[in-house]
Amino acid sequence: MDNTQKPAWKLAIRAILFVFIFALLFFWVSYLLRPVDIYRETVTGYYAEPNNSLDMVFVGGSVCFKSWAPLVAWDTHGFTSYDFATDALPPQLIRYYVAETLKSQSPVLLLIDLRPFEFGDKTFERGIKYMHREAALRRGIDSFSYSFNRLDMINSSVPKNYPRLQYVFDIAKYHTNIDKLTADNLRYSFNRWPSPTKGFTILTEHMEAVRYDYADITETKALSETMETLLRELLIYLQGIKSIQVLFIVTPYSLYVAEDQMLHNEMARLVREYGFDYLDCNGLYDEIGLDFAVDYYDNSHVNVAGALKFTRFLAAYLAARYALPDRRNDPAYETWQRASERFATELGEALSLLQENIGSEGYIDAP
Amino acid sequence: MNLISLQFLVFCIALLVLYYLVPKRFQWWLLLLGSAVFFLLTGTPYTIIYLLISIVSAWLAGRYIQTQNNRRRKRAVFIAEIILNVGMLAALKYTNFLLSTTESLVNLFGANLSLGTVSWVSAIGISFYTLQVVGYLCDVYWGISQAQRNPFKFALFVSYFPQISSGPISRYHQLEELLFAGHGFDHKTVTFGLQRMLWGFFKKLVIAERLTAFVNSVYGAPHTYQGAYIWLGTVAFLIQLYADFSGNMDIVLGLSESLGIRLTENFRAPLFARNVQAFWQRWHITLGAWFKDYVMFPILRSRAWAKMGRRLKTRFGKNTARRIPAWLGMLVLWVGIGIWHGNGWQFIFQGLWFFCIIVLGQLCAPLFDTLRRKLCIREKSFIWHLFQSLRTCLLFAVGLVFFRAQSLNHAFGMLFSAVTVFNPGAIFSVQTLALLGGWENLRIVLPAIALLLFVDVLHARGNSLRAWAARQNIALRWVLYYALLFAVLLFGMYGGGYSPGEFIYGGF
Repeated sequence: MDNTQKPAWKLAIRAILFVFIFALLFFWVSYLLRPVDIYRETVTGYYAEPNNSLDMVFVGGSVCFKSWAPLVAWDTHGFTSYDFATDALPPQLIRYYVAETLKSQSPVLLLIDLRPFEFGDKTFERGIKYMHREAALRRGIDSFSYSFNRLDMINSSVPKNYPRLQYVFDIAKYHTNIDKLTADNLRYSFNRWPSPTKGFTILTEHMEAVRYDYADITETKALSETMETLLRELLIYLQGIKSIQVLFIVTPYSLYVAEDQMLHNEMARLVREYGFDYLDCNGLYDEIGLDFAVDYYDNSHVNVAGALKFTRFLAAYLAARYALPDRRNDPAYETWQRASERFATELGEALSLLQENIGSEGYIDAP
Repeated sequence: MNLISLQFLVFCIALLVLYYLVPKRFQWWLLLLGSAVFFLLTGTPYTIIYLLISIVSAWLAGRYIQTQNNRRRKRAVFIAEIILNVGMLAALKYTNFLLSTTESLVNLFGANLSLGTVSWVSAIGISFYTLQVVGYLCDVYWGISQAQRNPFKFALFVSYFPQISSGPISRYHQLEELLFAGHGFDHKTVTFGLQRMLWGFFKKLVIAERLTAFVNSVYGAPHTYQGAYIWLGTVAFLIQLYADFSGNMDIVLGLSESLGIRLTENFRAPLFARNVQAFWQRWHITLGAWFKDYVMFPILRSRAWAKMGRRLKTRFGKNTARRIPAWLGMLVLWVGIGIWHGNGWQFIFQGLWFFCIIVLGQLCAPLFDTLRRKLCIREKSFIWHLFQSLRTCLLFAVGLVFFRAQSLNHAFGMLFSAVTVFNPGAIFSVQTLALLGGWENLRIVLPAIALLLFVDVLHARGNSLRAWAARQNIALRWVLYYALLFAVLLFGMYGGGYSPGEFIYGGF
C-alpha cells in the first residue's frame, strides 16, 4: 500500500502518466489491428515520407494511385510526388486529406482529383448515399493516424446516426483481427511504413475500352446541391492556403458520356471562379497517347501501361507550368533514385505480365 | 445510457471528477443530480413520474409513520403505502400476466374471452427500487430506522444511479450514513473501485457476451437442439448469467466504491456453494435477504403461523411443528422471488423448483451423509466438495431453464428433452463447435472462465486480489492493469456491428 499517503500532486502525475502510457499503447494496438491492404499502405506510406520532402501531392480517389506513378515522374522530370488517396474517397473527405498533407509537407503543387464530385453527383441519389457509404468512409478514415484532423473529419463526414465513436476508436471495429495478425500488421503498427511505389498501385490486367470524344461540348450541367456545396467549401478552404498552387484534374477514363463532359465543364467553371487551375484529360487522349485497346484496366482506371503514358504526359505538363524542382542530382534525394531503379525493374515485369495478359491481340507501346 | 457504453464511462469519469472537486456538503446533491440525469438518459424519460410517485409518497408516509402516535392510523398509512408501491409495480409489470392468466382460466370453461394486452412502459429498475422503498417503510414502521427528514436525501436513497437499474437492493439504515456523508478523495478507494469496474467489464464483455450466441441458439430453437445441447446450453447459461450479473454488480459496486460508498455485496463465489440453499445465500444475496427479512420472517412471526405451529406440535410432534411452518414460509418466499423475476408461470415454477430442491436437500441430508460414510469419503475432502459444488450448480442450472425459457411449456419441453434424448456425442460435434463460435471463440472464453473461477476461489478463501496487487511494485501493478484493460478491449465482444446486450438483470 505504497501510495495511500502520497501527496496529491504525486498522485496526479501518476494518474497522468498512467493515462499517457495507456494512450500510447492504445494507439499502437489500434494501428496493429487495422487491416493491411493497398489503401492503408498508401496512407501509411505517406506518413513515412520525410517532412517537407514532396514537391507534389495527388489527393483524391482511386484514379490517383492507379494513374499517377510518382517514380516515373521522378525518372523523367526529377520532382518528388505522392498519391495520397484511397479507393472511392467520399468527396467530403478531400479537404481533410489536404489538411493531413499540409501537416508534414509543403509541396509546390497540390493535385486534386475531381472525380469524387462527379461520382457523387451521378450515383446514389445525387450524392448523399454516395457520401455516406460505410465501406468508403471506413477506407477513407480508418488508415489515418489519430489526430484532431481525423476527429474533425469524422465529426463532419460521418452521419450522426452512424456509430461515430467506433470511427474515432476504430479498435471497436478491428479488435476481432487479433486472430488474424501477421508480420505485416507488426510492420504497420506505428501507422507509417514506406511505400516502395510512393502510393502507386500497379495494375497488370486490361480491358478493351471504348473511346468517346466529347471535348467539343461546351454546355454545363449543374452539380447536385450537395456536391456543389462540398466543392465550393473545398475551394474556399484551399483559397485560405496561400503558399501552395492547386490544380484540379479529371483523369482520363472510358464509359464517358456527354453528360459527364457537361459536369466537367461546370466543375471547371467553379474551379476557375475561385482562381484555381483546371485540367480535363478526357480531351487529351491523343496527347497522352492512350490506346483504348490495351491501356485500360476497367472503365474508370488505366492499367500500368496507361499509367505510364499518363504520368509522362502529366509530368511534362506540370513541369512546364509549375516551379517543380529537378532533384535528381540532389544527394539528399538519393533514396528516390534507388527507389526509382527498383521500380523500373518492377515496372518492366509488370509490363511483361500485362503483355502476356493481352496476348497477341495487341501490344504495349511501352519504352 | 447502457452501462456498457463509452457514454456511461464518460458520464462516470465526469461525475467522479466533479464529486471530489465540489465541497463535501454538496456531494450528495451532485449524486442526486447525476441520478436524475442517468435516469432520464437511460429509460423512457416520462417514466420518472413513477419514480417520483414512489419517492414522494414513501417520504410522506415515512414521516407520518414516524411522527404519528396512533397505531391504527400508522398501520393504515403503512399498508396503504405498501399497496401503492407494490400495486404500481404489479400494474406496470404484471398486468399482462394477469390478463393472460384470467383469459386462459376462463377459456378453460369453454368461453372465448379475449382481454388483449396492455403496453405500459415501466420505469427502469422499478423492481429494485420498489423493494428498497418497501424495505424503508417496514424499517420505519418497525422502528429499525428513523424516517428521513429531507425529501431530497430520500430521493437519492431511492434513485442512487449506480444501483437503480440492477441493484443491489440496499437497506436505508446501511446506506444512509455513507450516502449523505462527505467523502474526501482517497486514492485506494478510487482505484480499487475502478479496478472492480474493469473486472466487471471483463466478465460481461469477454465471458457473458461470448456465450450469448450459443445460449440464444439453444433456447431459441429447443425443438432443434435437444438432449445434450440443452444440458450444454443450460450450463453455458449458468456461466453467462453469472458473468453477466456479477459483472454488472462489479461495475455498480466498483463505481459506488470509487465514490466512497460501499454497497452491499450481491455475490460471494456462488459456484462453489455445496447446496442450493447456500448457493442462494451467495447469489443475488440482497434479493434473498430482502425476501427473508420483509416477507418470510414477518410471516413466521405472525400470529397465524404461531397458531399453526402450536396445532402441529400437538398433532405431529415438535420436529414437524418446527419444520412445516418454516417450509410454508419458505414457499411464500420462493413464490415471491419467482414472481419478482418475471411475469410468467415459468418464473413461479422456477421459485417452486428451488423451494422443492431446498426442502429435499434438508430431508435427504442424512441420507447423503450415510452414503458418503459408506463410500469412505471424508467430509472435508476435495472430491466431496467438488461433487457437492457440481451437484449444486447442476440443480441451480435446471432451475434456470425456467428463467431462460420463453414459456413454461418451453421449459418443460426442454427439461423433458434433456432427460429423454440421449445424444452425448452432440457435445463434441462440429455443429456444437460452430454454435459456440468455433475455436476462435473457445480459446478466448475458456481461459476467461478459468480466470473467473480462479479469482472466485481466491475470494472464497478470503484473499483480495486488489489488495495483493496494491502491495506489488508499481511496474507490476500497472502491467496487470494494462493487461486487464487490453484484455477487455481486444477480447471483448463489442463494436463492429455487434452491440453488447443489456445486462440480463438490467431490465427488471
